[in-house]
Amino acid sequence: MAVTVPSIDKAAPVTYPSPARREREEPAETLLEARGVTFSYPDGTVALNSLSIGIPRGRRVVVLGANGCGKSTLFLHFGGVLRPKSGEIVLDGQPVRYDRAGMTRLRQQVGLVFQDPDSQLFASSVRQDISFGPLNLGWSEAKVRDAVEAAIEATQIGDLADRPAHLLSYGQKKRVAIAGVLAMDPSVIIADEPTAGLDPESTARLVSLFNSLHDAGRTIVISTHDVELALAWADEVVVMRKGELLRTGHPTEVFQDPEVLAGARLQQPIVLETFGHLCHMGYIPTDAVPPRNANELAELIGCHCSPQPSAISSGFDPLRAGQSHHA
Amino acid sequence: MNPFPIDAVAYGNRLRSAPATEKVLFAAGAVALCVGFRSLAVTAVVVTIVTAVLRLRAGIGMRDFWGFLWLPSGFILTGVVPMAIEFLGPQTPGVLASVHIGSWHLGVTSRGLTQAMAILASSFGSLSGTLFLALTTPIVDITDQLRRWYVPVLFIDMMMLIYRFTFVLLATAGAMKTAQEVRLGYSTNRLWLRSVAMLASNLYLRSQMRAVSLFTALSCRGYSGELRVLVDRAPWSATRVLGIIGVHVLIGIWGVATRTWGWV
Repeated sequence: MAVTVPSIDKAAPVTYPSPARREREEPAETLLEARGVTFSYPDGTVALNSLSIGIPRGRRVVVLGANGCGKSTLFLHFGGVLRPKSGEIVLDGQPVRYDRAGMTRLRQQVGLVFQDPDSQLFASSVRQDISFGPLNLGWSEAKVRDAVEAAIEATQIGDLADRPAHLLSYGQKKRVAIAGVLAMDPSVIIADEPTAGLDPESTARLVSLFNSLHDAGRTIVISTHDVELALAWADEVVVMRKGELLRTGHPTEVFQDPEVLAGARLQQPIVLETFGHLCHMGYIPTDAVPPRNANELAELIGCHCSPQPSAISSGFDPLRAGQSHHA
Repeated sequence: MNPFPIDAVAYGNRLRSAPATEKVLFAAGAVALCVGFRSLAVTAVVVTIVTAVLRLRAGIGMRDFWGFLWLPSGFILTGVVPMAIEFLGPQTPGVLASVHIGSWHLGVTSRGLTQAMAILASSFGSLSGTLFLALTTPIVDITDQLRRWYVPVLFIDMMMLIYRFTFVLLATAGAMKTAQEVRLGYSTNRLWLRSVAMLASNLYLRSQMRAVSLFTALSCRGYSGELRVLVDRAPWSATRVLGIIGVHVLIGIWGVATRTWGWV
């Protein structure tokens, strides 16, 4: 039975584009990998404890975990800023070398976007800032110009290109910071809590930017505390705890694993929690494909539950009702 | 909001998109004329032209321009006035006015007055020329121009970083001050002093951390000692450049004429 669910894209700005159904798919080759990486800071804090994680090529990966679980430390290892005390970082099957050539290769391939854009932007204008990375790769001026313009277009910051950083909003600075690494044409873009501190609309815009970069063939890795975003958007979720890998897998599986949720002190996404209740109460068969966003949940309910006659006659709109709940 | 009005004007004026080469040339010519002639008449002409160009071409009113000018002018005046006054001996020629204070004989001589006027003329004229550039040209265009003229990279890098992080530092300091204020950090004189001291030391630590994270972020984009950025080619029109040079040359000729034949 086909059920049409009205699109809530226009009604509520906080929607993430529904991911294509990529449930059990072929394992992708590993683009970037940490192999048994251990790292401790000078004060003795062990940030990573023989951690092994692979980032599959072409996927959207979300890294989850409590504050201080080592997400940022892992990202700094991927960017070649920190060097493992033991273990190694592997790019495209080759262990990363920490000499000049190795670093140039790593930094061209891996674009690291920091949480605080003010620590990344330094130049007097947006366009100049974006040109910094590509110029360091030794490209010709013509190629650099093309790369800068392409990055400006992809991140939709054309109207900001000649402004100084201090005249940009926080969300705009984030986009500029992304453009700055995008211009270096990396295979993977790693962003540390990119949506933290952004309003819902900016978050949605940022997520759709990541989607367009992903559609262009790039691997995207982000860390976040937003479980709804992780469930709706990720192809793969990585959960860390105290510098170790707790679990990695498809978001619906990871978020339905009670041990992982308890171990990493994660909240189950409301969509999945509701789904669980409805299954438990017998409204939805337990073998149904778990929903990843409100749309999919509504579709499931529409398929398996019949509407109340009174609701139809009164023109009841479940989405409106849902909205007033959120407000 | 932009905490620096000059910066805001630089980005918002109608000469913003005019070629930096021309603006720098105009400003440099103005400064050179004022410093070269040290004549109040030449400075008056230059300042009038600068004011007119700002008013008519850049859309910056006289009131705004003089508003920016009066504070540094105050510094110039406080420097020039003592210069005109000197200790007089019994035989000092050309005394215009004098006063006895105890055993001291202080006064103004025509030579001293001329000297003070020359300093006033050159510094005030240079100030208005420089301010013209500051008001019409954002820093990014000025650093670009300096790059085109092969000014040492280190100098330009420092300029760029200082400019960028002045705003970051100011925002950080503002946030800290607010946080202190809401917890009554500035309610008494004693607390005020304590809070300011804490603010200053904290700001220093923050700046250090900021520098470290900037270095990290730059390293990730391949930083290896030089902050290279793209510089657009300077589009300038020969007609306008000739026009600017022409105006400066005319003022120069007039200045020479007044000096040689005593015209005013």
